[in-house]
Amino acid sequence: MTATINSTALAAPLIALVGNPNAGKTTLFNALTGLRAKTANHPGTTVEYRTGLALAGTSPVEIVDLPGLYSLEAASAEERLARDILHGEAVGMRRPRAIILLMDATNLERSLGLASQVLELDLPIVVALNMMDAAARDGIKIDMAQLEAELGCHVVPITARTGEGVGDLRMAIAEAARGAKRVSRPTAICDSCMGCAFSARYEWAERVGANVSVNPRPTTPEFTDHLDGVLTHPVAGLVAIVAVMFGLLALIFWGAQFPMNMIDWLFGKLAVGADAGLQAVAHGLPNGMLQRLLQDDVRSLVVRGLIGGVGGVLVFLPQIGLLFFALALLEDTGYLARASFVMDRLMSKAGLPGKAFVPLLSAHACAIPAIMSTRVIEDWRDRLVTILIAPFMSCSARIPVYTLVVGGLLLPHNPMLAALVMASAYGVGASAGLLGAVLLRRTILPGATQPLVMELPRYRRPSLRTALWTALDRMRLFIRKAGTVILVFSLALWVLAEYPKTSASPEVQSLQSRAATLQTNGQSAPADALLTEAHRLHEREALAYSFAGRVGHFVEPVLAPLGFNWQIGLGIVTSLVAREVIVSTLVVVYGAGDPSAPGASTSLVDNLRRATRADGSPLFTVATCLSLLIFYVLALQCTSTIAVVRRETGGWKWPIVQFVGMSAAAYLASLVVFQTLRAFGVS
Amino acid sequence: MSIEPGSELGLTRLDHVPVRACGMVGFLSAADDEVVRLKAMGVCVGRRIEVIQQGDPLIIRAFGSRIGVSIRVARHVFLDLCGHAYSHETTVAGDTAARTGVLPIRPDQD
Repeated sequence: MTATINSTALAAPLIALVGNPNAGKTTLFNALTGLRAKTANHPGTTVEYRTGLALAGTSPVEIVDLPGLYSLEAASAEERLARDILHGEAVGMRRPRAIILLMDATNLERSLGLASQVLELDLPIVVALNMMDAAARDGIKIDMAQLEAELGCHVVPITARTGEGVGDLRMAIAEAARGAKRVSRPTAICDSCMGCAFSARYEWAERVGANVSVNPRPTTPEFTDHLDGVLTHPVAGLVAIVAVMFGLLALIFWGAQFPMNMIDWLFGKLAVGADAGLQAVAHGLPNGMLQRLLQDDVRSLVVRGLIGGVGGVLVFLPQIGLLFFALALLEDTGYLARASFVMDRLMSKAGLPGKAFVPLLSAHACAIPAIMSTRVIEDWRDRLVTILIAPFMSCSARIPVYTLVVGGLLLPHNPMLAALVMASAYGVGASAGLLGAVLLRRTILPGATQPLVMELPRYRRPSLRTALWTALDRMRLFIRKAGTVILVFSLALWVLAEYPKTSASPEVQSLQSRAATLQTNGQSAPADALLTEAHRLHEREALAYSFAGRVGHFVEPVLAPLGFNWQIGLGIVTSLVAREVIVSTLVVVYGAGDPSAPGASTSLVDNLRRATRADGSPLFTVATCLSLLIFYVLALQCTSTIAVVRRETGGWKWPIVQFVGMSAAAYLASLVVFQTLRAFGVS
Repeated sequence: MSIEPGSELGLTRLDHVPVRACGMVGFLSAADDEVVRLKAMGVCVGRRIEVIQQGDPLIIRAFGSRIGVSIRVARHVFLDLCGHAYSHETTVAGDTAARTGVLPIRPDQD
């Protein structure tokens, strides 16, 4: 099937979709290609473009959606790519057979500015005159025949949001793809024009606009004036941002909970089912190596490695989908441009562009979609700084760690103070991120942020379909590009935590034989409890004996100055998969004691409170807890984030820089906290 | 005391233009990417723009669109305000200065 699509794509004529930003290009692209689109990176760059197969008449064409442009004078990497594709100079890309030039009927003259350059490319061109519904509402009347005469090509009126006129456009594309009339018409020759070449083009645009339309340049609607008075106001605009972003965060944070829990539940069920199935198969085999292999290694690989790994990838999808759906809606309404506008001045003080605000706020839910959403930042260095500091924001995966350390160990009886400490953890993370941005700007990524030059588009009703397709596209991209790396990481860590194997210790064997005795006496409940305890103890011993456990022992001298013993070191190693894994590791390492013993507790927190160092002194003191807290606030303990950064930056260099930098910051901060507290007598 | 570029031409820097005032772009004193983008958006010599909101960033209206512009970029844009006697010579001189980087000197400045 894939081969068929690929061969069709190669055979289909390539058609470039060109237009100004905010002209409705994505909406038209989605309307033409549906879900057959794919997102790709241009080789050797981080510039992204989308291609998709569409039916034009009865034949397929491949449409490439170029970045939004105001001109073909390349100022940014995106504009350079668009120009190179149109001129047939882009590496690994055919020259387009024809062009769909998307124009905005509500702002014809601006669209004509770009058109003046596109018309000189000597290619067949179809003009899609979009937003005809809005133009009609604004009282704009356009003489199509006159416009066609002025431009020398076919003009199709459409409303991409509703799909009106898209059928006619497909027919016109088919005609253009057959190599119909090429357009090559110099437009910037204007003897009477003053100023630069752009001025000449805009003079031409004004003349054409005046010839073909009535009321071609309406004043901005009053509605926009009034709303902008609030939304771009330095104070009221900030209040609006706080309100909107709180809603966005709540959507990602809480809205994603149910589907995430569903995925978790589904994979839990799948793991149980696979476990039972493999056990049944193993029981059906004769005793021997194959049976042991199936019962032990294969079962663990399938249940913990594969199902756990795939579940660990898919569990992020609801947050990614919801974030991109909401961002697409906000962008479509025109609000996102206003939010970036208001935040620009504040963010630039930390060496960040205004557009970094939304990704950084989203990172408080999850760094992965946040890093993916930095694509709204045009300047590569600005985007890179944002990517590098985004994981400093306290994401939802840190909550179990914060809750355990602050609520469980540090301040179990003072919820008010515990809430304050947790809020401080969020503040420390955000401050560290901003400080990180300042440091990056003064060291490896020097220079000021790109100054803001951004169109504030008209407010309009967003397209749900476009938002949905954007979300689906991002989810698909995450699975394809980052999911595979995350799965490999998960499997590698499974190997580290699983091998080498150890046999049951005398203590485990003793528990098992006591359980067998109880079972024989008909006391099945205490027998089950003992078997559970035997299982936990064996897991603990196996983990300590594994490569991961050995790494924990190996790094103990390095972590000792932070107040951590080898068990915490092991938790840090295993939580490289995801931060919250330290909690499950501690469950195994400091798991419940013998539940049948009098006064025994099965609470992890109780066991952690009772945990001691080798010299018998308490382990989780105030100093250790605060040191562990600050470590998890600052450390990049998330392989999924590393995988996404690798994808977004196009290599391993920046994820390594980020991992080393954040780990060093976490280590130093923990060291300072622990040693300072100790110096002041706080144990 | 340094003479602000453009002041010789009787032009006003964009970030000094009052709200709701309009003017003809007379001179752009830089040629970096952001200024190129501004030109592509219609803020180029000889074009008329209007200031909607002052501050950093400020908002202008050019060619039917609202454009947010950082003050760092606005400092490179000089306008011949509406209401001033707009002279063809001013724009031509500004355009020449933009191309050559050399500001014309008025005869009475010597």
